[in-house]
Amino acid sequence: MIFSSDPFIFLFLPIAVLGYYGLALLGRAWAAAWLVVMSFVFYGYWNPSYVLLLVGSIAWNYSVGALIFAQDDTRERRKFLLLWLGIAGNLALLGYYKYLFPLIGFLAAHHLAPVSWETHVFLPLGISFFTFTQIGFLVDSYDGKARERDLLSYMLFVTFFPHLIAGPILHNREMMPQFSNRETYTLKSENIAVGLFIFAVGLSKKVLLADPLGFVADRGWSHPADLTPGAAVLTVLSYAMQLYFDFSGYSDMAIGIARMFGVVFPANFNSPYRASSIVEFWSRWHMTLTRYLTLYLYNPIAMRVSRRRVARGLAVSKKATRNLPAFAGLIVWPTFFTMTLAGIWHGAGLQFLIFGLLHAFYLSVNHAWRIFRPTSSGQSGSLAIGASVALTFCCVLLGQIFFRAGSTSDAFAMLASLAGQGGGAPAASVGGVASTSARIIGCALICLLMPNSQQLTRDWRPILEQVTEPPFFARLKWRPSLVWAVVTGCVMLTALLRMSDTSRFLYFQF
Amino acid sequence: MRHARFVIIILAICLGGYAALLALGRSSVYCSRSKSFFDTAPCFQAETRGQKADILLVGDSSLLYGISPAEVASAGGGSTYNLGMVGPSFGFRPRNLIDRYLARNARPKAIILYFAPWHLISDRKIADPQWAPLGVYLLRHGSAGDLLRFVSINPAALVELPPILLTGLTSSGRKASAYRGDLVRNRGYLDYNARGKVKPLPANCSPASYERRDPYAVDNRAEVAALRAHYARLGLPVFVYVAPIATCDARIDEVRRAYAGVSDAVPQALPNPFFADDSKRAEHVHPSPAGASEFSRRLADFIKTVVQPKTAEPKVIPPAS
Repeated sequence: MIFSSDPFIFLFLPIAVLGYYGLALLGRAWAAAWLVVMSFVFYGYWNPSYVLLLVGSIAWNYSVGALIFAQDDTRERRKFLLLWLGIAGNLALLGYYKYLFPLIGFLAAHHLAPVSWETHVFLPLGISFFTFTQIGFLVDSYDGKARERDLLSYMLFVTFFPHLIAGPILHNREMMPQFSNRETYTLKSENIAVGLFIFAVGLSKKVLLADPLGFVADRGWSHPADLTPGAAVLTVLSYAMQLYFDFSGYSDMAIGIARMFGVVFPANFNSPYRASSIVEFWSRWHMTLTRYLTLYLYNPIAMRVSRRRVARGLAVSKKATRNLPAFAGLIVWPTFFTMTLAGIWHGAGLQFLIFGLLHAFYLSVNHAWRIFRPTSSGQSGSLAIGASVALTFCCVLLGQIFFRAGSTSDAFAMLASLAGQGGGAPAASVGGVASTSARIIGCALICLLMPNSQQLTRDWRPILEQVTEPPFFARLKWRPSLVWAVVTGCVMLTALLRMSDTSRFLYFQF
Repeated sequence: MRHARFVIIILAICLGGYAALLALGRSSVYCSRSKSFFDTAPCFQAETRGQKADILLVGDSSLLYGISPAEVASAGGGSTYNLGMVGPSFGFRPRNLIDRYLARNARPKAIILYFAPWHLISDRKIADPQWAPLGVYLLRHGSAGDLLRFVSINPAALVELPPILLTGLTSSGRKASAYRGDLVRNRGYLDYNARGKVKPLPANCSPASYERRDPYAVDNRAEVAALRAHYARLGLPVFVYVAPIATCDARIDEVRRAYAGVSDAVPQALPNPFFADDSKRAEHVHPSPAGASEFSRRLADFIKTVVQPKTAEPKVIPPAS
């Protein structure tokens, strides 16, 4: 079931909300259990048989987490083994469904495996998300940071349907206390109103902005080698806008739905195309993934490198990174390791690996620039910031070519088309030039100038983090007024009526 | 309180918008402004007036686009009127459509139900969004009871029909009403090429594309029998003729078995180039430009050999001199 569908909006969501607050009158456990059941229904709507997979994954991780928690501090080695046993179980599940068959296919295609393995195993929706969420729980149990042991809260933390399929990737420390808090289950019209507004923003991003450009992007990407530079530019820019409005629209919907149940989610996007560096871009794009990777991959590796350096009597301070070997060890190596895995996390294909490596390279260059540049160039005027934003966006676009391509050859074909080495299919072959250009420009203006959903609702605690002030239109703030209600209602009605052409969310495939 | 008011206003605007579109569909405004070619039949077939035909043809799009009464007449099949619709639903629309025709036109001698094999099914089997043309038809021409029954069977239509109506109003192209003249002039036949060039189905199409199609189970023998009985009481025999399918669909034997005892003619598989290559769902039943003539000729043969002998006026035998 997808958020932008009639069954979800007209049937599932109203039933879930009414049942939740109705049962909350009987007690927290009833309402929480109801949400767990509805989340399984939500997941099973796509393929009922995979509900068992989800149940098995929860049972495995909760049990291993409980075993880790039960060990006293003298049994460090056993705790460590249990942690890795738990992680191995998760990686085995992910490996089987996501990587095994594509890998065999890849090896067979390159004559490195004797036979291709035909299979009908489908990638379970959201497997990467619920697996990552639970690996985080195991690590936190090992570190003694996950203290909440309530099974119902844990099940709700993993299955809570607004984040189950495509994130945001939640952290047990920020979610489980909310699920065990009685206050969460109290009906407040503020929660419904704020949630409905954010949901409407997300729905309109998806239906009115992302999907129309998605048709253009799909058309161009169906024959990337045949495009003129104009057609290739339209295709690449359309995809950039589609990806952002699709995924951030989904995240807004997830945040809005969660809020209707009294639950506050972390932010997942913060106007990433406004970023003036790649480091800043990753702090604004798919923020919960960045946080997860930093917390569970980058930091442990950087810590390990630091400890080794300390053991060898070498400095690990910020100043020390001005030395090239130290920079390579403390920053480049953890960055490449993390981003390589981040690339592969998005899919089993060489193009995703290149996407990860490309961003690792960008990030390393960006860090090097920060550390090694002459100090006199520290001041930035608005022109320099504009150039930085444009350069960052171009780097992101290059990465998205590999991210979107069906294969590396498709990605290089698109690059060749951009360079004028493609075929002769004109821009009009992918979409109306004027209308598509107008859409792209409109989307770009929204990205660059307009406050995002959390900035609009910043007076009403839309996300767990502190919301930054928007650079423009700072006085534009949502409030439950008649004007906002009418505007939101009209936008939502338009989005609902245009929803029949809605495609699946791009991030469902991960 | 302000928050509750905010939520109520949004819900009211959304519900009001849906209700307004449904009301628009019920009025004549929608049909006069729709730009969907596929609304031509649902909007205007039921408004046929002053026609005279020996045989009334009633069916789905395989009839609407596939049988030209002019071609039937020239092949010796006599005068026919094509009351083809779009989409499936055998259950009650034929009755509604036929009764409206009988009330406004000269009475025919017989009725032929002409459906693609997968469309002669009961309403309960309609997969969405195939009911859309039926929804448009019933919204415009159905009684309140028809609509209630339709919604009880397809409750999703309440929220899925308004976006379809909006798409009809806002899409680009000729208005559906622009084809109304063609419809009347051609005695209910609509040239499938009128909205753009139709590519014929290639001769080498893969039968594998049909594997996922629902089985050709005729689950409404009782409804067909009831319809026959109803019009027999009015002196109108009803015949069933299953539209030809492409040889690409390797399941002609299954169709014949399913329709044994229901169809009055043995279902036929005809060469692929007679069919349009127009469907992603492998429902190749609409004609290519060459197909309509061939299908019409074959129907004329059926009328001559099966229908006319049973509907001919008894000849007055002159007393022996």
